Amino acid sequence: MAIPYSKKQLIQRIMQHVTNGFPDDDFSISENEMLLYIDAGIPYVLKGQMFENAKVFNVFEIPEAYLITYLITPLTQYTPTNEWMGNLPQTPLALPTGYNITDAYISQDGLGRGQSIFFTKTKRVPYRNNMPKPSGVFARINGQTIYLQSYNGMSLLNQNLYVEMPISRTDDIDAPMVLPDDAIQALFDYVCLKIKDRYGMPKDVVVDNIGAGNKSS
Amino acid sequence: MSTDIGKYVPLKQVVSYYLDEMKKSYAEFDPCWILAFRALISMGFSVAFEPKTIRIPLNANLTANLPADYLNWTKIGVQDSDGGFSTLAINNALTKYADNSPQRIEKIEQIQVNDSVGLLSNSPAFVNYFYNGTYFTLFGIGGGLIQHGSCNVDEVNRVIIFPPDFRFESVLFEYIFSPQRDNDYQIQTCLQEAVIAFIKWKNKEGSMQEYYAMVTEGRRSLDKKKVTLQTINQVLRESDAMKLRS
Repeated sequence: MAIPYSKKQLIQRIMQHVTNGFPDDDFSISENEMLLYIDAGIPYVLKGQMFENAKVFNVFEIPEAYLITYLITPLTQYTPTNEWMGNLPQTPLALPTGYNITDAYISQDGLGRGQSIFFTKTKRVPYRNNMPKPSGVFARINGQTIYLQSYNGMSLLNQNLYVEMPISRTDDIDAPMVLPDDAIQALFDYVCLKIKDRYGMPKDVVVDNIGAGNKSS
Repeated sequence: MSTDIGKYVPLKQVVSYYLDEMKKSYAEFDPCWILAFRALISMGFSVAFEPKTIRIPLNANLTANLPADYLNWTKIGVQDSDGGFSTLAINNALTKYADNSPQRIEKIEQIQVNDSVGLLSNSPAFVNYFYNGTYFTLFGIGGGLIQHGSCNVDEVNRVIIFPPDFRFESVLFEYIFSPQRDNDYQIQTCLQEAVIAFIKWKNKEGSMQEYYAMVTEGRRSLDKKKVTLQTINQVLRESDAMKLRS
């Protein structure tokens, strides 16, 4: 079993790297602030790797290493529209539909997974009901909320919704990161760059022949 | 014995073939299914839809209601004693006036001009060259069809209409019907590549010419277009007759 890496470990590594040792009391960047940089950096690295992979197969794909399947339950009915709604683990990344959430299905224990859900791009929602629909469940996303509706209006009460999506966040700072090893270095470099900007790291003056002390010119 | 190849294939399967070939995400499934549905409609009216036959009872005003799933008719007739489908003549002169009226017969008889031809108007059968209780052909002129009456179809009012002298209580009706989904819509397997070509055409990944080429290719494999030695033999036998040859 491989050793899991957490964001806490990455933060520790970055701190040691930036401070050239262990951070002292003068190091003013908190763990939470660094966590924000890491959460923002993961999608940045992910997109870079997607484009890098596209050079090989000429196809845009989410690397499987980023994906996690979540169980969304319970679904509640959104009475104004009779849709069923659930909360996603985080707001989906700003990837194209089908990549921000790679798969979703309804499943019951012992019955196996159901047919994958059809995601409707938001701009298609207003006119989608004017056209015939394949049998199945349709979904649309608003921020962190997923709205579901069966093609024939069937109730989704007590159904288990499973959603597979790439995520950048974790439940807490000690939770293992869903990140392939070949992305960690890129993420590390990204965060270090941001930290250096933020921290205003003093730089050694490398121009020689200048005496130490205050300068008057 | 199960097999993955059937006579019909669901549209979802065809769309999955396309997505797999083009390495697309599942989010493309729904838009592509709509394109496949449009391909079904497009090919349905030209080659794919298959007719079914029902018997329709006539209304008191000598009309017959078209079925709810009616799209287009292919045969209208009556059944003979051998189970054969004997078609009626299509009488385009038959007026569509008052087609939905219970008093239709009274209304269309009121304005008839005197066009009776004696024996013909007394006979339930509409026959060419009918005379004195029998019929015969005239040399040099087509023999005509022996038909048991005439009719016309009023598409707007969704009824088949018959003249006042029509003698039958029901008619056989063969028609192209609107397909019903059985979990999913299906199309003949030999046309699945044409559906994929349609999707590619509409997604700007193929051309209209490629689509029509695939329709033509698929149509050759349809049952009604299939040529077998048995059917060729039958055509030869039926066309071989005692007749003048040039």
